[in-house]
Amino acid sequence: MLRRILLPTILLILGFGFWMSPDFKTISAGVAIFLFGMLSLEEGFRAFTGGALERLLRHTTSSTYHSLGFGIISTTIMQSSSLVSVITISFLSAGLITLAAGIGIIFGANLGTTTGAWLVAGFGLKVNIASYAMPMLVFGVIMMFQPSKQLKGAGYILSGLGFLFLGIHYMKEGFDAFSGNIDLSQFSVSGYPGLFLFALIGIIATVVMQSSHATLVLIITALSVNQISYENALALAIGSNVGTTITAIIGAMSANEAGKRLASAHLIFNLVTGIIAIALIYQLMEFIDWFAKQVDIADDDYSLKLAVFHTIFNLIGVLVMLPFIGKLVTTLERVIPEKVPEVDQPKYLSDLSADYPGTAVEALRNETIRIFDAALRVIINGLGFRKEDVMSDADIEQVASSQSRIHQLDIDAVYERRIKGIYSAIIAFISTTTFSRHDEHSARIHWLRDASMNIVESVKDTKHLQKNLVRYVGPGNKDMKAAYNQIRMKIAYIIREIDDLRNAEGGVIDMTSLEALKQIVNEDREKFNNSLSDLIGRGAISPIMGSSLMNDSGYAINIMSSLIQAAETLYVARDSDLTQTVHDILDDYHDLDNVNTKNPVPQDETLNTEHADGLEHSAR
Amino acid sequence: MGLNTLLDKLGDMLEPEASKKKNYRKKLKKLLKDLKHKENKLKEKLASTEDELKRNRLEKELEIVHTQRKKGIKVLDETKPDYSDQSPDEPPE
Repeated sequence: MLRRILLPTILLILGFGFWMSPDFKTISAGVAIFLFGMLSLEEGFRAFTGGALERLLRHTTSSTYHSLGFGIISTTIMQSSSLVSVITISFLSAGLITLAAGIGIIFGANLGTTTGAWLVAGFGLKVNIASYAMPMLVFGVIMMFQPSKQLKGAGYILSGLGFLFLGIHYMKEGFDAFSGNIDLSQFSVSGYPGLFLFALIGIIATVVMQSSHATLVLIITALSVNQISYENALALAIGSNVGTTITAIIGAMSANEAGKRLASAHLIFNLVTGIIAIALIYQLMEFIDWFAKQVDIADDDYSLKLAVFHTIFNLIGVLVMLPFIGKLVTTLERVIPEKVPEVDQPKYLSDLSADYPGTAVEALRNETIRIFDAALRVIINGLGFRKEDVMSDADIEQVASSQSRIHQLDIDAVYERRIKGIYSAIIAFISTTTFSRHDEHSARIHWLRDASMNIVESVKDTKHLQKNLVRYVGPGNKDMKAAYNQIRMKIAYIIREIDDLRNAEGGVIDMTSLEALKQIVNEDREKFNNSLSDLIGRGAISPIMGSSLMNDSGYAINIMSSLIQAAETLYVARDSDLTQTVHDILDDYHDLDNVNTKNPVPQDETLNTEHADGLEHSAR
Repeated sequence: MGLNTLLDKLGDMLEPEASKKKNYRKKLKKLLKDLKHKENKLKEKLASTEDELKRNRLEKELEIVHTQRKKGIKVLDETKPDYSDQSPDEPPE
């Protein structure tokens, strides 16, 4: 219930917010574009999984120092630690690098970003990669249309980068209204409370302006007009270093658990570094003054002094945190666990039961029944029915005709969750059993394996059938709707019969009943083919619709036949079944010598095959 | 052990083929009895079932069992021993 109303509520609140504040709208659009860029980037990097990029990354991040160096160099080149951190999150989300390597890169990026201050302060050089955003978008989209996987991947990466910058641009635009109101002089407080306050202001200002560089400019300006003290300026720089992680945190919103872990590592690193820097601020100030004198930096050259400070405190952070990378990885993996989808596991199979043929067969049968039940459920839902519609006396025709449309079921997801785990365990279990001396058990295990394969096939066929079923059991061609309703009702009927039969005799089904069901399926196939020809002949449906119907009726026949076949293995008691005895006795008849054969029964004919033509005969 | 049983055993040992056939016919007769019983049960079920789809299945089952029984009778007929082969306890069919 809560989940159902959550999304509409969020959308309503956002809608109200957009109506109230255009700035809020711009900021939200910026975040949305940014996240879209992240998705695109991740998609792009995924195209290179297993290729040259992965090899290059594996090589460049093979040790902590390599990752650190990679982070420093890439950030120095790109002049944006935020960009490097979001790309690293994409690498991690796409599974190209490990978390430890990702943390190494982030640490390196923190050091690399300090070169920006040096470049600005020392050479007046400002690399603005954001100016390439528009060309990136254009080139990216053109490349996305190319058939080559690599070009397409590169296109996604380029347009992803373009969208990242565009998103940041909109966020900045939206926040402009707020940044104009920042008057630092009103917060002037001395001592540690002042340091913490200014660090907080630094965080907020960087979050608002989406750029630690912009905050640095603001700090230098404020310092030059004596709005703030030197120590408060340093606290602002520390805060801006923490605030810059916001980009990575927003980026991690669209990433998987691995990406979230990395964003957390980024935040932890910058927080710890910030706390150390605040704690040692006076010592750092003395050291910077001393260092400035050594390299001839003027006392009032705050830009360069800030650059020195920035580098030193990040260096301290890296030196302090580097030995704890392993610990950080384990902690983050524990705190942010990977969401493992709830997958049904085998209940009856164990290493012990493989040692005893009788137990093994029974365990396998029980497990196969579990996937049979799960498959019946998937098929029923895939056909647009509910379990209670089919496994009851309800009028299926009425249920079908009352539905104006049916909803698509994610059969792959349900298969993964409910069947695959058990099916894989069954196959693995069978491969461990070696009952060469127990022929009877071997045969049963062989049949059970076939039964589970039949069950899985029926689910796959339902998935194929569902595509057109959803399409045609809706408003549109009435004849197509009627034909598809017929198909799904037939399958539902066979499922109901199998379920009734197994429940009626305490879990044992008479083989004759299943033979009768096979005959019904064959008759249905013939009737269906005739009505199909009629529909096409009188122009009620197009030949293309006809071919779809033809294929889908094939799937339906396969589903029904597979289920009947599986039910035969699972529920027919071969030792006491009458039809089985009939088959055995006929086999014995052919073994008799000197029989008075007035009208001999042919060798390949069994006692009940004359009505079961078409379907594979069940006698084993 | 009675004299008849002893004679039977001796006959089995001397004529293994005839003995095999005799046993086969015994099994077949038992099967035909079971099939007859099943056919009757199905007829009863059919009479008490109203659901059209279930009736369809039951009719088909009945047809299968009936065919099986008819063929069984045919096989029994074909394995009928010549009077000269017949053991004293087996009356002519």
